[in-house]
Amino acid sequence: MSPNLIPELQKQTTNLINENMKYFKGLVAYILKIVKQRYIIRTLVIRDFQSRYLSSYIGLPWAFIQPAVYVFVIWFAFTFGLKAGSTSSGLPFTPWLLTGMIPWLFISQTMIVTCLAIPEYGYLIKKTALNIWLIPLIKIFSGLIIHITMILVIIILFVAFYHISPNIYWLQIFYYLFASFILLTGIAWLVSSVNVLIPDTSHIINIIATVLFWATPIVWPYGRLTGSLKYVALLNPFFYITEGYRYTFLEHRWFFEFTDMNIYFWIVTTIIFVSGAWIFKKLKPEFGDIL
Amino acid sequence: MRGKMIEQIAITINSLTKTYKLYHHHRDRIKELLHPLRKVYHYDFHALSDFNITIGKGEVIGIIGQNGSGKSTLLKILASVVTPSSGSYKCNGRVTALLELGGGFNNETSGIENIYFLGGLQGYTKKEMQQRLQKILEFADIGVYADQPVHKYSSGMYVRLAFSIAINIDPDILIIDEALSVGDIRFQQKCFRKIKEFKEAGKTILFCSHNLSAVRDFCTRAIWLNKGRIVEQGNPIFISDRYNAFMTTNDPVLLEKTTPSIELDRFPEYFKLGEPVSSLSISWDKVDQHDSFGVGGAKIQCVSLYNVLKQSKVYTISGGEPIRLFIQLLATRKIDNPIIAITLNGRSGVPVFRISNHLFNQRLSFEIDIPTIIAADFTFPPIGNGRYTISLGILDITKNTRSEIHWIHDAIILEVSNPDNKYKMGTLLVIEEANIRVVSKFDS
Repeated sequence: MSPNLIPELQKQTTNLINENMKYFKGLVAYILKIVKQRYIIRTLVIRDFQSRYLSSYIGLPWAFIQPAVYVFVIWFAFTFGLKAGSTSSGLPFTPWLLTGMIPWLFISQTMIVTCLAIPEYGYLIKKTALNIWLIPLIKIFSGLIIHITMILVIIILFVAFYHISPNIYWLQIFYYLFASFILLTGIAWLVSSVNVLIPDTSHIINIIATVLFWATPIVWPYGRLTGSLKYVALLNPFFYITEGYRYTFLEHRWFFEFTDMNIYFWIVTTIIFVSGAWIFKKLKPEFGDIL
Repeated sequence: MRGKMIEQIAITINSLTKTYKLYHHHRDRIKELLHPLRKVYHYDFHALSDFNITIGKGEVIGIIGQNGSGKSTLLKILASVVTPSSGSYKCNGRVTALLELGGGFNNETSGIENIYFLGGLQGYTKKEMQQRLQKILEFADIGVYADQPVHKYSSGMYVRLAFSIAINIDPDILIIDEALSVGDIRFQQKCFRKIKEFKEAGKTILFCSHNLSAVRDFCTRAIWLNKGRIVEQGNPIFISDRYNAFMTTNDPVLLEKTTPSIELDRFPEYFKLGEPVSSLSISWDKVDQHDSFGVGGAKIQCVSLYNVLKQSKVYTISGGEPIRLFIQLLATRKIDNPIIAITLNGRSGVPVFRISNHLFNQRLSFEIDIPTIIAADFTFPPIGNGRYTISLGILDITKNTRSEIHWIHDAIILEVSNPDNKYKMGTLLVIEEANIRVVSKFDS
């Protein structure tokens, strides 16, 4: 071994550590900023929520009517139209469908609305020194309000009508909320910034959402896929989340039982998160000029 | 000592450059991004080029320049709303900015909610803002509108609220971009009093304005920008004079050549009445760039405005002083008993006065094919501070028809600027002497 190698190696390692520390510090600073600007975030989230729902006559119920009708129609089509209302694992179809649909609606809706988030806040970006990084978060948080309410609604439904009683597995919901939050943050940075440059992005995202919904096992069981078709499910990182909700509420399994799924999800999520942050950072200086 | 020096600096700007990429179509932006051979679709617009400056604490900087000279871009960068293309800047202390019309209001929510929100953006908690709320509302003076959504506000209320927020959240550096011109005179005066207070408290203020009187009155330094570069900076009175000269001639090169500094500009030989004058010794401003029309026959070539007492060329007038306006014209045919008309226009083009040689029964005759120099002596009336323009015309009245031989709109731009409060009331006319007193007393 050459005598230079070890110091060289050490130097490289410290460089690597320093480099990673820089990003780590950036992330920590970002989280601290969220904490520090919580009043701003809270105000913006409430405003977003109000402008989305409270400006109409019926108001808040719209936040629930629309997804409820959507879920009902899907349930109706599957049960009576396609006669496919059964699950391979023998679970009742309705709770099974609900547990998958609710996280999916949260994720797909957030993804679609974040596309247009930056121009919506143009009046702040152009006039004040608002931290632009926070804007996609606002859409996620305001979607999260509805989402958590929905989770509570299905829990009540399960307990009241399906005799599913609370258990230790349900605590996993916090893990899955965290996982979807990280994934959505990456996606939100990515689509919101690219959409400023390419307004077509929102249309593409709409199509992607439709394709992922029907082509991957969200409203039909994963077990229907056989052979190499099984890999289709991997196209959709959200499958991990929807499936996770089912483990949590219905199938009574722990998330760490599926090693390869965990590895796959977290690799994909890290890639999306890092590239989302990188692209957002690259495009951020352009926002003020384009808007 | 060194440490103290650094403490005294509010803003440092190092080779700051902002280049906007302009595209013919929105699509070109993405075409350029994806082009395999890196074809360039954009053309550059240099809003700021290699801008360097250091601003000390307590300075009040007035930034002047034409539209598109880079004033707003500079202020937006300092307010961290626009990212510079290259270069760096550093602001020591809290910066609040009032950019264009109001700053960051949400139109759907009430004035009070907007106050809390904008305070939050500056890092104040709701509680801290509650303590300031009364002061903000008091200064903004929007009354019952405080609870109304901001979209119901008039543009004046909008600016009043924005300004009131900006000054009441304890900025160290205050940036104002031409916003105050919207408010009425009373509010403007109130703002300027506040700016004065800030100045005395040792805070740093940057404002860009077309209101040169304000720049003269409040600034410790003026910076004149043109096409993204500093043309000149220094004493606000001196700089605004130079700027006015530039606006009149529209030719910076000419300005360099013919405008000597104010103090040295003396031509005593002109002021002996009736003596012939060599056109070479007058510091002329060319007017051929300006809007003009006429049937032809004579043409005004250049003009120059002098203060008779100071015996110097002026662009700024305090009102009540004797003025001599030189006009050089070239006639190409004989004009019988021509008229020289001088019109002073105020804001929004209202004529303030018009004089002509006919009005005073003075007869002129022009030389043909060699320049004629005309001097018009009059006392400038005491009129309110502001910008005025002088339009000049050569008219012909023969056979009872009037025709314009040559007419130049806004040939001279001048500023009336008098530190006396009588001139600052926003009125057209100024009354120099008045006596207001109690003449009766009633027992209660």
